[in-house]
Amino acid sequence: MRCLIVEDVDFEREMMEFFLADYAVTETACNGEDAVELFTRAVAEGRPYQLVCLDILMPKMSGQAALKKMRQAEAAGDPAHKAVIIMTTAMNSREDMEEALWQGDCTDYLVKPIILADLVALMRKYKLIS
Amino acid sequence: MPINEKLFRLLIDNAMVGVYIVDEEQLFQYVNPALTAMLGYTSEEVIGTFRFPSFIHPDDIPLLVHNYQQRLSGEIPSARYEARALHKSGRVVNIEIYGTYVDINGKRSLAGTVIDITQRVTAEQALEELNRTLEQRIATELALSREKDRMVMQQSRFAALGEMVAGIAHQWRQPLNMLGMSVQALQLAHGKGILTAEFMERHTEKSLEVLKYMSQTIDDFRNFFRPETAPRNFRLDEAVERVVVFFTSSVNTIAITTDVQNRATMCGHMNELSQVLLNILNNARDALLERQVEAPAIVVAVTRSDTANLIRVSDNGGGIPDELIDRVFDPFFSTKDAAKGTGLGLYMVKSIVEKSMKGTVTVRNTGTGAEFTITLPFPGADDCGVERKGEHT
Repeated sequence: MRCLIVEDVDFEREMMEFFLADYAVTETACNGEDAVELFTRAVAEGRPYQLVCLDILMPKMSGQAALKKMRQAEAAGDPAHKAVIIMTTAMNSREDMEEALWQGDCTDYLVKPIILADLVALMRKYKLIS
Repeated sequence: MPINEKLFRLLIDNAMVGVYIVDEEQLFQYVNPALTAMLGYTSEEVIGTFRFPSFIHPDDIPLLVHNYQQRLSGEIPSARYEARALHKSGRVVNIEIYGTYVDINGKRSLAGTVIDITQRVTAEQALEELNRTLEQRIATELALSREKDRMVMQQSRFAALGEMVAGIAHQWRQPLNMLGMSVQALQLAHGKGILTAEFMERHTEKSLEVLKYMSQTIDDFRNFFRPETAPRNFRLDEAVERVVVFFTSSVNTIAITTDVQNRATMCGHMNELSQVLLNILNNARDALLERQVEAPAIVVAVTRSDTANLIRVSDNGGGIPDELIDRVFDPFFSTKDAAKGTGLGLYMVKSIVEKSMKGTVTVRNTGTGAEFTITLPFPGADDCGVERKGEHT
């Protein structure tokens, strides 16, 4: 499984890599712009990500904006493939999350602090691992 | 003289006021048509049969008898007073009586005139009642208004407290995540058999660093929201920089710049100005994030006019709809969900600026967004006085 971790805080990005090392080949981006670039290239080269962990509040381009662009990029590639995109955020209210979920067509979300077991459960739910 | 008597008779019979003559026994000897009409009797019913007090309201009879005796004894020649009479139908007729002692054919008698003052008395009573209820109504309205002020004040305090809690929650979410990840990483590393001393060391250090930051956050918030008692001298630009640093630490997605062209000192409570600016900045932040503005930016400018120090906060969030712009400072006015906005943030801004800082705050749309201007007129207290001078050399 190929996974893209998008997170602007170095330590958190590193920990996400550590957590997911047993499950996926991970690549990272520290803002929305870089993430969209990596995602688009992966789609174009025919080796798309199966999982994207996408932070919402980031400088340059927000997670929501990146999500929209990723789904657009995806539409140009293999129609059978749709990445599992999990938004991760420190946003306070559930309403914010639901808005992100419905407006941007993300697959699911996790509210920080992130619990590894929850992340693993989501991967299982979306059949990324058995 | 016959002509005179005839003339008088004509005048009295047709007089607009009631006229009476009673003898020593208080028996009516004469009543004119105006008086009988006033009381609902005929002159035949009255003359020689009724005594004066028969027409008077029982409560007023002592007054009448007193006046009657005074005149009859010659103690006073005449008396003018008000009393309540009873109409034949039983209703009360307010009357004013002017009675005089007279000698008619050697007999001691009393003659007088009576006018119906019911309308006047009723009007006076109504007016009195109106005055009384008006006072009561004003008192009630005043109490209501005070209660409303008190509630707004109370809720403003809660709103400020809510801001603080929300701020800490926001500031802590990130370090909490880092701590959580560190703890889970230790567990994971141990499970994998790769928990080296170096790994352990690194995560312990990281966790302590994060804990220190969290502790610092509480102190920062406490200082920021601590009420100050005595006014102090502070520089406007320093107050602005302080708020901007504080704001930036929790919001890293909005480009915020300061444009300082005025480094004036003013005397007051720096925390109040900080709170005013923070509320305006939070308001801008909410608009920018909610509208998902492409490159969100806020500019805080400190300038001056000929008459005042000015602080302007402008954003590129698209501005406030024209139909709402006049109401943004009203208490409990909010366009946000109840969960997000109390409708008190900008109201607090206005009340602090006007009441405590003796300034004004206005808002306008610039075309790209909203612009709030705080005007602090000269000579604002620009120096707190001698006791602080040593600190400002």
